Amino acid sequence: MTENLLSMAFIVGLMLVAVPPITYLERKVLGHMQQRPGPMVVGFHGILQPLADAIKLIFKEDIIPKGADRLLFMFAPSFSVFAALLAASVVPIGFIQAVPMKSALLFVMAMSAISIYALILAGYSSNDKYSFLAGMRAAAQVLGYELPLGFAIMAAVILYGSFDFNEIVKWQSQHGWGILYQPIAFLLFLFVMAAEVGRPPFDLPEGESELVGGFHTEYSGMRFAAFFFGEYINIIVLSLVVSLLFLGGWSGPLADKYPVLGVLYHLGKAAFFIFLTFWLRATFPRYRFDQMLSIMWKILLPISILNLFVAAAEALLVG
Amino acid sequence: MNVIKKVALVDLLKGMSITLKTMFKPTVTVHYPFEKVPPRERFRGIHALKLNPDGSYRCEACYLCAEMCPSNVIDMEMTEGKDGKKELVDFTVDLTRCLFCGLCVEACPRDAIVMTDIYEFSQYSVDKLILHKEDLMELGRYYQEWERKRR
Repeated sequence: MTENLLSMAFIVGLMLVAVPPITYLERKVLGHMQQRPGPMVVGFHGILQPLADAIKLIFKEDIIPKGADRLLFMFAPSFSVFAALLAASVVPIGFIQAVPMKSALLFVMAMSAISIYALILAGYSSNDKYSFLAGMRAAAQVLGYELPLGFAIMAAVILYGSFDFNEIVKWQSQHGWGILYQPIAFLLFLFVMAAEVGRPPFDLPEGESELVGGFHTEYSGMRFAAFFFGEYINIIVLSLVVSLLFLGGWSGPLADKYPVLGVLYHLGKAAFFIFLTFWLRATFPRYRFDQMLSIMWKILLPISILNLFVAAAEALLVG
Repeated sequence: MNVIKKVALVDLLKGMSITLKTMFKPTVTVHYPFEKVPPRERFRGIHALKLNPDGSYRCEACYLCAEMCPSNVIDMEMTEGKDGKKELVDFTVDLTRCLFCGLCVEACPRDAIVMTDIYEFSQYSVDKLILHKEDLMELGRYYQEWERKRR
């Protein structure tokens, strides 16, 4: 019991503490990919920039627009953080797992799907046509990506025969990493992950070039920041999940003897995927709305369904 | 061929390799308020009035620059001096309208009005952007210093 509470505190703490450095690293990476240095002024190479941002956001005036649905408007940002943290609670990092659960993978997927409701609610309650459009886009996007995402995960589940992350990692330490068996599911998951967390090239609900700020147009101060907390926690959680599903999670040399090493392996693997989201953002322009839906429904969905058969065959062969 | 390209995500990987390579290139940013790029030699900044070596104005109020100016920036006031010559009372340059074309400099027969390399002249109020004779002469001293250094 105390172990669970400690793990819970660790995971929630890690998620909340990791977000500001990640925003800093994102701006740094993005900057260097465009041949500019990113934040440079506050502290050594701008290292204190997240702190400066936080102070600025805390002291900003908190505005609720006229005609907004006040309750939903205030509820939406906290819901974004809440759903993301719920998803984080069942994801094990090495030997640290806050809530051991047999169907943890299913729970993570449900929670990260629910977190899109924060965007829909924000768009709906803001009394702003841009926010409203963004909310509609978020709703349509969830219809687009949930199917390929579900099928990609099902392929992995068929192969491993379990929803439990511990079982999945055990299977992989016996038979080798999942990416060797399911490269297609891995790629599908990476693709869809960008849509799930609303990151470029699928950041349609945010769409700052056409929708002002998308769903967070009307938000200011810490409510605005809460959306980003939710978004970045989701990125961390999904990066952890990808490395669990396809890269063997915390397995690695000497990880059995020293569990702490396993934690580091897992976080290292997840760090690569977090970097990948920055990399994708620096490289690709946003897909148009209809393009996004046609990619999801006409290309990724058939591929992911066919991939189920491949997974079934592999499950029979490897057992 | 096209299908293979699409399936293997060739184009996407190409783009990603470019961004990754760019990440390790040196940045090209000039950190502006802390470091500045010196303006080019013939840069057209704000105006200045040059002085003769004995301290008198070179400008003799011929109004050619004011005549030439496309946006009506320059205005001046003059009286008759003791020896019957024109004497400059005030010379105003309205920087709020100036487009820094340099036609006034070209028009000047005495090489009195010149353009310095100063480009940072923001002010909190509009009336400070209207330069008078004293300001212009101050700038003229700066310009002549700069000219001497360049020689």
